[in-house]
Amino acid sequence: MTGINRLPEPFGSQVQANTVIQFQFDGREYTGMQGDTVASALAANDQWLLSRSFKYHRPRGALTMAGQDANTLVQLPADPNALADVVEIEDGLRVSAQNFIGSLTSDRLAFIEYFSRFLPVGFYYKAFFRPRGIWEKWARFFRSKAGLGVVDESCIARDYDKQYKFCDVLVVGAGAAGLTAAIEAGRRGLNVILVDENAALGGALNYTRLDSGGSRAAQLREQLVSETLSVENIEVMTRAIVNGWFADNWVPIVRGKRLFKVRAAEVILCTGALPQLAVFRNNDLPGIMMTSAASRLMHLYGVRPGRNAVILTSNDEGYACALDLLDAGVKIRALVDMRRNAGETPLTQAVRAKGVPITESSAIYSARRSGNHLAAVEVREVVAQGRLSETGNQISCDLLCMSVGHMPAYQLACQAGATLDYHDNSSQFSISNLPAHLQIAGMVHGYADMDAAIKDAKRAAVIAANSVGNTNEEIPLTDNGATPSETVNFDWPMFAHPKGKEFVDLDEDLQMADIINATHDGYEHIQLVKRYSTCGMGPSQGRHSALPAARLVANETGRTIGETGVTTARPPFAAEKLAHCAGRSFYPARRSNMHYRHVEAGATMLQIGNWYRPAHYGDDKRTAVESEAQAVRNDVGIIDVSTLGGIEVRGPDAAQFLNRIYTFAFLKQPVGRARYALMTNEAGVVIDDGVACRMSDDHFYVTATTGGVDRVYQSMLKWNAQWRMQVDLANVTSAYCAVNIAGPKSRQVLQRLCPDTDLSSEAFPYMGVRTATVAGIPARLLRVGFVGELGFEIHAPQHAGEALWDALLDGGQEEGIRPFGVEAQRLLRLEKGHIIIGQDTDAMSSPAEVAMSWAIAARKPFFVGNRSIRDLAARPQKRALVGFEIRCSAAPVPKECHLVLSDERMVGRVTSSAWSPALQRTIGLAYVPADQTAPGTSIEIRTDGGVMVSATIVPTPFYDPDNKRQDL
Amino acid sequence: MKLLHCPLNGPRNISEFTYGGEVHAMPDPDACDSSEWAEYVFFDDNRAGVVTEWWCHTATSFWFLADRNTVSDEIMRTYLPAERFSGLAAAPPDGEPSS
Amino acid sequence: MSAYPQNSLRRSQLYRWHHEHGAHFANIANLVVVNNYDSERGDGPGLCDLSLLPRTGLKGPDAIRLLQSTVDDTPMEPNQSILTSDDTRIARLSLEEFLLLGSVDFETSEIAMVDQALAATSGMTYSLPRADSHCLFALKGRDSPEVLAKLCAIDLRPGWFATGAVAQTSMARVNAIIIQHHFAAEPGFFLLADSASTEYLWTCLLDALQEFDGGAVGLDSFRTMQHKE
Repeated sequence: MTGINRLPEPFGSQVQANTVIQFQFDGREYTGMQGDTVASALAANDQWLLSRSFKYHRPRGALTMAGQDANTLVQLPADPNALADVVEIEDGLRVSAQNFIGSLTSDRLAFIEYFSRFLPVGFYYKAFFRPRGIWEKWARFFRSKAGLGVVDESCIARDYDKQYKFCDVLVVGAGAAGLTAAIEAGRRGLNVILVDENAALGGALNYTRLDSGGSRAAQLREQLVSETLSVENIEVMTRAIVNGWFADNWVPIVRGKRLFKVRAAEVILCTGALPQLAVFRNNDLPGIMMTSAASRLMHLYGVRPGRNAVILTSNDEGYACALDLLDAGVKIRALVDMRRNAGETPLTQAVRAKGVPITESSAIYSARRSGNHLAAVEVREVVAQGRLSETGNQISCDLLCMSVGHMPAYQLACQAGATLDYHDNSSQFSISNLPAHLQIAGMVHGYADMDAAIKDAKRAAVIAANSVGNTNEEIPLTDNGATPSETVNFDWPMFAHPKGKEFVDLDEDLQMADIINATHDGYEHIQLVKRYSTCGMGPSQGRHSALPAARLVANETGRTIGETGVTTARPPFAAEKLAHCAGRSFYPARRSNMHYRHVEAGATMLQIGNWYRPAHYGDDKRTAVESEAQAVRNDVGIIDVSTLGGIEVRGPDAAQFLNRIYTFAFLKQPVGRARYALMTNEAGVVIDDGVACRMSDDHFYVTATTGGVDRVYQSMLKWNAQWRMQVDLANVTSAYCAVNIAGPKSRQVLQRLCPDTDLSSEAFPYMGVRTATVAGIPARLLRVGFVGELGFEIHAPQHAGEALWDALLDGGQEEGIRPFGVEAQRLLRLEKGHIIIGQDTDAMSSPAEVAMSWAIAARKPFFVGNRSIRDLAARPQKRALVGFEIRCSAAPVPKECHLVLSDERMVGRVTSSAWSPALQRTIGLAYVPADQTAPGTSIEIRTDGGVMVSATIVPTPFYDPDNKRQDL
Repeated sequence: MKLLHCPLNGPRNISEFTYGGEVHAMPDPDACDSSEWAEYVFFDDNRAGVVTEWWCHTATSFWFLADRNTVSDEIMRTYLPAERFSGLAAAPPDGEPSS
Repeated sequence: MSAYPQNSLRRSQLYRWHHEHGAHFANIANLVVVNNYDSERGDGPGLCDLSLLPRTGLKGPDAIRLLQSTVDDTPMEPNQSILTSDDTRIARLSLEEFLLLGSVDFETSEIAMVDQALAATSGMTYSLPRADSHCLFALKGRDSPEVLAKLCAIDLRPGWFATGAVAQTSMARVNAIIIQHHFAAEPGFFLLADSASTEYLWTCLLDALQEFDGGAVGLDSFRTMQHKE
């Protein structure tokens, strides 16, 4: 036996009586059945209390049995705030309750509600600033009380994944309307994805009674589900939540551990409607639930929701529920109908025939508890809107089922830009102004009548099919089946009590007076009421509080409910885990063909942008960098510079094109020569540099910085989209690996590997370019000198990178060749005073500021940035990049972005700085005021910890000022 | 995620594209005054209505133009730059023939 | 071991991975490629490193003319590809740009012919070093579209992505070219991306393959399929 409240079949369509499951709740052992949720299994065992409310620690139990409220939040070992009415039990599952001190049944914090009058609406907000200093006193208390559940910080989210999906029609919700829409669209050949959050298809057909006999819902469900499953092009996704709507029907679906990103040509929302609360004193007690929750307990889980029931209704649903309760052996103490006249329908007649006492034009004034459960309600007569008679009847009961109105599940439609209108005659909101390719059908469209809902779904499916297939099928009309008896909403199901505790928002423990007082405090706009009172901010996101709050605010501010409206319903619709958002994530990494040679040589690899680059070889950075630099200065070293950008510029206009793109002149550049290429943007700011190698009259090979090449290439293409010159551009960065061999012995080593090419100074001068064969590998050789020594850049096909590296190391053994890393390269170039674009320049650096005016061909008629550079030159220059040195070896080495101060004012900053082993002093580059650049000027730099260091401005290059070494 | 219709690659998620700013005609850099030049370099119209923008399909480095309504965010039309730019005549003169 | 990538000038970025995963190498025209692995996947989709497979590219206003005078067929529209009688896959990437992939038996002669024509031309046709700028993988098997659905936001299901269709898009956040191709009877794709991202993408694809019981395969897998036919 799995609980004293279990009902026999055919109740309990989703549980398997023969599979018993053991689990724990709050330290006690329970048994349930396969298919039970935590809440249903506990209810079967007469455990109705599930949680304590957020603010007042009031006892709470299941309200919707559909995961739509915060009452069922429980703690799973690795998962706080799990919904007990959604999470299915499994053997050994350990569930605990949340938000109490002591025990769930006797929470020591329950006293807080007696202080509720000291915790008025906006209390938290007010405490920020009034009276002064109060926040510090309250903060600790607030923080200890804030938040629910415990995060298991040792938990590692595994196997979360993401997947893209595509369909013609996405149908959200698999109730009668959703199933119909899917069938009709599927039969017309469309690819359909049908999504529902529940385990079983059919929506309300699984638990709602449509007729007095009680068989129609099951028959209809059986028929629609089997038709759906027989249409091949319908993909069914159950236990899946459509968690938002984004532009152009881009829809996230969360199922299990996977987030699906779906692009649908058409979306049909059949999301139904959410039942609403009746608002009266103590309307939050365990034992008070929606009629749909009671029906779910009986039909889905085979659990009797109580023994003695009272039903509060304003529509036929209450009567249908009454018949179900009677079938389940529940005594109905009273059926309280708020309408003046319940009317004569098959359902009301059937209930009357069973002898159920029906009280019309009445409502519940208050509920009373015994322990932590409902014990009785007081029924009074409705005398005016929101007003009840002075006296009434106490009726003992342990179950109160409410059906007083619905709110269409508007969230997704409103995210898509739809608007809500309130209709005073039916007392409900409707959805309009839907964007193209998005439709609503069924209950969410206001069709409470089953036949009308099904017709409405057909209409939507035909419209979607016409749109996808570009067809003209006649669109069937939804006949307006809504008759007065099917108007489900009661206009004002709210009854204030002098002692309060009539909850509008259960998540945040907000009572009627809280909402009303918010408007009295001056917050009249519904968005401000939300932020001031926190109404709708809790886990259920206003599913039950939006409508009553709108009614209360409208009433207090003298506006209509339509004018008042509801707050914005943003995604996600239901809580989603960070793990879903993280999911399968991608961190691109680029490696040169020689990558593993660096790793094998003990390099410390750095990821710079996406590229892996060797920082230095060997663990000790300082000694590694010094010895690598020394090898380059004295003998020969090689560095992998495959990350350098490479762009082929080819065609009759190639030289003209470069002339417009770069600051230098290229028209007369001889074939076989390289020129420095500096790029400025239209504002005259330095943005990239490289060398342009003229391979033939109409072919240049241009290098660009590692981080800049993609941007440079894109910008070149954009310019030529306007200029339309006869030039072809190709980004060949990844097609070439590159190695820089540098040092006085570099020619010796390279010549050995290139027997067919004369590398002598005469045959191959500085800034020369050759095509050659290096160790059998075809390559482009560039004689350039970033590090200030005799050197060559070898650009070779990417897949030969490792072979090239091996050949160079092998061929240079005699000369003591060794690899050097990015750190040594940075030091060596700094010794030469060469700037790195992006490190020594910023978003304001003009060529003049970084002493690059020599690279401007001012007489050219046009290049990008020319006009701005001219305009800048006409104004006084504000700052300049200069070299500095610090001779005191005990002084700390400044770092990038350390400030240059003058009279404690910031006048500049350091961009590069290092201890130079070759020069035996600290050197660096810094921006200083343009009038303080004379060599010998002293500048003050604030280093780490505020330590001031004096430096002296010196000319660059620091090392080999006459550039003799690279000219060898 | 918004869709953008690339003239070469068809409708794609807008995350596949790089935004290139509003299209502005460059004033003659040799003839215009500094304020006119600064207006061109530093300012966008930021008009409420239909503007023409540069977009680049990143994977193919394909630049095209889009007419977009900045109020509704509706993209009215995408098309090749050739429709608007006829070549060097649209750009400032070099004083040199482009061979 | 006669065929080992270390002895070759051109080396796939993945040869260490292949070696560590029990690859058996073979030498085809001085290129060292993987014939098979000690253990290969069963029925799941297969991923094959074709980084050394001959391929080339060309673009420019005269590219179509050069191509038409060299090969027997060319694709009509951008983002379409065709298979020549020589089993060369020719993809049109834009009005003026083409990509040629050799057949997986490494026996295409058209790639070399086009490269020769490119070297000789004086027209406005420009070669693109596709064998070095891009890595090349084959992904094959019925579930291939589902595998790529984890990495790429393009609908690659058969019927939506036609035979020979080309998509230039973002895959696992790197730019990629996806070309539908039938490897004998097995549907699948040629995948090309930045060659420096070879290992990154290989790892991403293998990870995505796990769910489908797929894994790395060598060139033998193409040969056995042909025998089956």
